[in-house]
Amino acid sequence: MDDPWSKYESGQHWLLAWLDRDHPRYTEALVLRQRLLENLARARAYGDTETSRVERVEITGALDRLALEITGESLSASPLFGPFIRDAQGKITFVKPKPIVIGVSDNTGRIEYLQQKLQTVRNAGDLTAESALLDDLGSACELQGDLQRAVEHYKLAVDIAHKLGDRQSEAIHLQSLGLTFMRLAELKSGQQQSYLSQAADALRQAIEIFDVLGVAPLLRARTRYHLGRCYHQSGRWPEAIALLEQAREVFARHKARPELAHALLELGQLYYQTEDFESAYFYLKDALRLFRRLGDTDGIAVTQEALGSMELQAAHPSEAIVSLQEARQGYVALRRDERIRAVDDLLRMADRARQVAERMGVTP
Amino acid sequence: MSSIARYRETLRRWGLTDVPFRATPPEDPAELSRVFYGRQRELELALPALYEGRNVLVRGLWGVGKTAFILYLLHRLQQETAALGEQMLILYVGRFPGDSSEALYRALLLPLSETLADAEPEARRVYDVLSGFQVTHSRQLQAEGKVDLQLVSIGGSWEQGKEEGWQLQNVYTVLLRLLDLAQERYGKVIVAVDDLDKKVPRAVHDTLDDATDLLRRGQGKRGFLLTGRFTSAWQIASALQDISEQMLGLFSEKITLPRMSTDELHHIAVNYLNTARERPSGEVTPFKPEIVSQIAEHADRIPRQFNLICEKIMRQGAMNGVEQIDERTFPALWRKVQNEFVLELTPAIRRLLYIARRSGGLSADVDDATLEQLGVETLVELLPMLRSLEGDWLIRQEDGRLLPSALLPDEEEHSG
Repeated sequence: MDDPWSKYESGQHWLLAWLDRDHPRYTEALVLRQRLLENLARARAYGDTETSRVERVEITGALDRLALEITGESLSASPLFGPFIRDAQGKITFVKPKPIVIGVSDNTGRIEYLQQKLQTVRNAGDLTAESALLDDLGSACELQGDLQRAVEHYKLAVDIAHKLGDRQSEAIHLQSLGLTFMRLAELKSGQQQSYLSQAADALRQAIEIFDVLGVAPLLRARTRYHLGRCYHQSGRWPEAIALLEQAREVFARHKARPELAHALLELGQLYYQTEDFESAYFYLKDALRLFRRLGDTDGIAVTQEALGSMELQAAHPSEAIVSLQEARQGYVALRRDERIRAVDDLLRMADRARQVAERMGVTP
Repeated sequence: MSSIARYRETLRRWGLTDVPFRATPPEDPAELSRVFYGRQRELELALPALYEGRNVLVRGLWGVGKTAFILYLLHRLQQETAALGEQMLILYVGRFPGDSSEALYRALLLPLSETLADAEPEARRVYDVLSGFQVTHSRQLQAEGKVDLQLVSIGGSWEQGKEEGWQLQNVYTVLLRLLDLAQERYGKVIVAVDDLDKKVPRAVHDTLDDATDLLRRGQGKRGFLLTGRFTSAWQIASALQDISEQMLGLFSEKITLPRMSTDELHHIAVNYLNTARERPSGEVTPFKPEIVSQIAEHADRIPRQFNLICEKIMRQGAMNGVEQIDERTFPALWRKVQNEFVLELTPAIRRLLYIARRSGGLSADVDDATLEQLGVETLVELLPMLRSLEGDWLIRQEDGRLLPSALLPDEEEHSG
């Protein structure tokens, strides 16, 4: 069975390959690519949800519009997924029908296929194609859960792009590398700090390059967002706040609502940890409002859990119960058992606190 | 008759030398004690705690009178300690540049080193070094018996001056040494740091966290008095703030200054008016008592706002030559003050205030339609502006909502 999402990956790969790096809308396509890949990674890791689907429809719609505006063809038109020849006037001719898409269920086959292609381009001495393929291989290894191999491929991709002087690709590979280190930090708690430190190095370098190149603000903001998250997990809170605030400001200016909601949630949690409770409350409430508007069940659940904990700690158990119940509903819908158990513990505490308050005649 | 002549003539008829009300309290303790009124319970809590060298936190909304309270408290502490024939050094730092614990330590070192410079070579050296920074400071020394009260306000920045060779390593260690020296000389040292409201809340928290050791070291010989908002109209945030401070365990007394009662504000008005009268009286002339009550309500019973409105109304009244500020003359004067106020606002702020008023106040649960009117995606985009407006008392917190100041006139009068 094919991975139902592979066609989206192929579509965006095709669009980026079609666009010249100098094309004025190249970075726009890159931002959409990044969002799509993150969405797909989440869907593959945690299962597809209504929220993911809604976001994907939005991203693929934007990719489709972009393709239509640039090429005159929609990404959903099947021939577009195949190789093409561009003539001197920029007109394109498709030379093959849609290529075979190898799905997640056959990821090993996909890796083999990419390795064969890698060998071919290496023999031909095509470093540009080698770098791009190494990034694809890294992504395929990530998909398979082999994060160490993904790291190796991304590192090679970074080195080649660096040798070629292709700064933009170098930064993109660095970003992939940084995000993989962050995943490793999540999974391997024993080496968390070491992985986070490597993630921070890679993301910081990516930001430096993006800043020098002056790529699209949204792309830079997203990288700052990731580095901010990385610093948050490393306990470097003031730096995390500075980066996330910069990202938030750009997301708000560009009305990038999903990104904005996530940045607000991250900042709300950070302000809570730094005991700036008033800011934490405002940020979490704003995040909640946006997640509701986006219909993002996962976002609503996580934000309500954070608000519920805050209300419980502030001895406002009735309000905490309302927030936590909504968080629980969301986690049930998403089948996130670990979170359900954690919220149930909080709900029990809130219920006990409410009973005590009622007995004492206090109604917070 | 010229405007100024009419103004002066009206003041003369009112039996006043000038318009005495000021939004900010006088810094001179003697002058302050002439207008200060109330807060007896809070004084009774704070005075013995400070005398015993314990730490006291004073908090409350902007404009509620924290600065007036601590200046008066320090003045009383000075007088009462001097009356006992005891020695004490009281330092009051009104404002200082920077948002870090290091900035706080430097701010304390500056007046401390200046005080000790005549007798202690190390203090002289530290003072010379600190004088090399691009800061300016004003200093008032009030001696009463063996108790010195120093009032300091520091401006500028802790950037190094152009001269080379200015070095101050281990600021914290130097501060501890000078505090010890001051303690040897005076027996007790009380340090008051005001206006922490003006700092970013997170920075204040970090500074307190860093300064925990300093604040805990007093051992009955050193007391710290800090003021700041340290509270929020949002109950959740406020409650968590409380818990966090309790966990730090730095303060023996935490005093929250409430809004003042109408009666207390009436007394403050009498006190201010008496400072401009030849012979004191218990009257609020040229105001009618009912009008003072009305102003207290317009001011949301916040002293700074009350004094500001009284000042503006009196000026308008004097310029217009009114006999008395009563039910007949007050509405027109009030409208003029409101009009003046609204003209000082930028269009963006005016718009924000009117939208806030129309929507019944802005809260964390603001709806999408209101945000759209405000032209933002999220309320947090407006937070810095809202906090600054709150600091200027253009907006006030009430039951978890931000409402515009009563000085804002009805919208229809300013729809253009």
